[in-house]
Amino acid sequence: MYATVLLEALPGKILGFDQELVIEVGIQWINTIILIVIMSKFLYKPVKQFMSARSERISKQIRDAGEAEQLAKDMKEDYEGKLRDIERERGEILTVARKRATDKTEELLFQAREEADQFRARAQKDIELAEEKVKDEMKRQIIEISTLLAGRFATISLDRQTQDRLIDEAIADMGGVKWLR
Amino acid sequence: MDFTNHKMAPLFTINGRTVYMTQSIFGTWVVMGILIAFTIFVRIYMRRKHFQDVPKTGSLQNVLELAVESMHNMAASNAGKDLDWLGGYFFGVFAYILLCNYAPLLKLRPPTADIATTIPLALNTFLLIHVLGLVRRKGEYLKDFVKPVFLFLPIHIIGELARPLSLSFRLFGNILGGMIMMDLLYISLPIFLRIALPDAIHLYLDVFVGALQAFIFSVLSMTFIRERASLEEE
Repeated sequence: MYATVLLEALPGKILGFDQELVIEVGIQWINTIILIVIMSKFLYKPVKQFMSARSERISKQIRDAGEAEQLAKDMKEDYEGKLRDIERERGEILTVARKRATDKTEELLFQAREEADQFRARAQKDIELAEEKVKDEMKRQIIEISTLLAGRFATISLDRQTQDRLIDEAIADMGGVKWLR
Repeated sequence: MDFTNHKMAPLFTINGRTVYMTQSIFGTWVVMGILIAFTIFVRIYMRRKHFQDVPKTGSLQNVLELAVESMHNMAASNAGKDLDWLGGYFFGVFAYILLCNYAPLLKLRPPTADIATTIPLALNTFLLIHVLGLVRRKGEYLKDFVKPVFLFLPIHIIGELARPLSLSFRLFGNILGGMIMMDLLYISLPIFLRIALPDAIHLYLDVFVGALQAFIFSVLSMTFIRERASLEEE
């Protein structure tokens, strides 16, 4: 049946190697080339270029993001380093300040102690001087009283009882005589 | 039942011989018109900035990018990475053969069922194989013809000439065979079975075989070019 079909088709031609075929091949060749050039140049190429440009753009964005990330990391490291330096400096400053404060405190305490000692010594000396002065005064008063008593003994005759009373009165007039003990 | 390539209208005259527009030439022009119109539409679409960085799934841009990338990858893997620029050529070839094979869906005689359509495609491949081989590999290309000894030169020449013949006749034969089988099927089927059953056969013989033949032609052409013209090591 297939052979019959082909034989019947001969006048119309399914396959024939003649001059007509050569001309038709020429026409179809031109058609093919025109179509392929148009499709390749005006369809494939622009779409491919769009895709390549997009790929390039995305690659660049990824690259930029990587660089930015690296920069951020470097900056972070830098700042962390600076913070560590600041922390260390703060520690050093605090240590120095504490030491200075301690030294100053000790110095002040020493000065205060010294001044207090001096003040105490001076006060002690004043007390001693005042005591001396009071002693001298008391001695002088005793002498005066003794002189007075002696004068009375000499002028008035006294009995034993009166003499004792007078002495007691003299002693009572003098007040506390602890300094004599 | 007529499978012949009818003459439709006179085109021009050479040496007193009239050249006619055949059904296959008409079909080719229809296919060309569709593809060129599509190309113009895509260019306008692109120029109006409808192309986005992230295309929507199933959109025209998505499908086009898939087709372009697939063809580029196919060229890179079959013809070699140094010849991946042939993707553009094979994109055109694939689209042309595919639409020619699908012409019966538009009630046209498939242009690829005419040897005059398949020979130019095979000749293009033949020229690409040898011109690229000679330009890129120079002496090495010529040495291939006398390997392993000079006596093999005629065999190599026959082998090279057989390539375009096999390419063109494979495509022509498959599409013509499919066309004949479809017609025979329509004739042999009782009328009540002609409604739905042929659709399944159309799906296989026109759609599946059409795509398969376009793919086979492109891949074989790329492989032949790689054998003779690629500088890539195997």
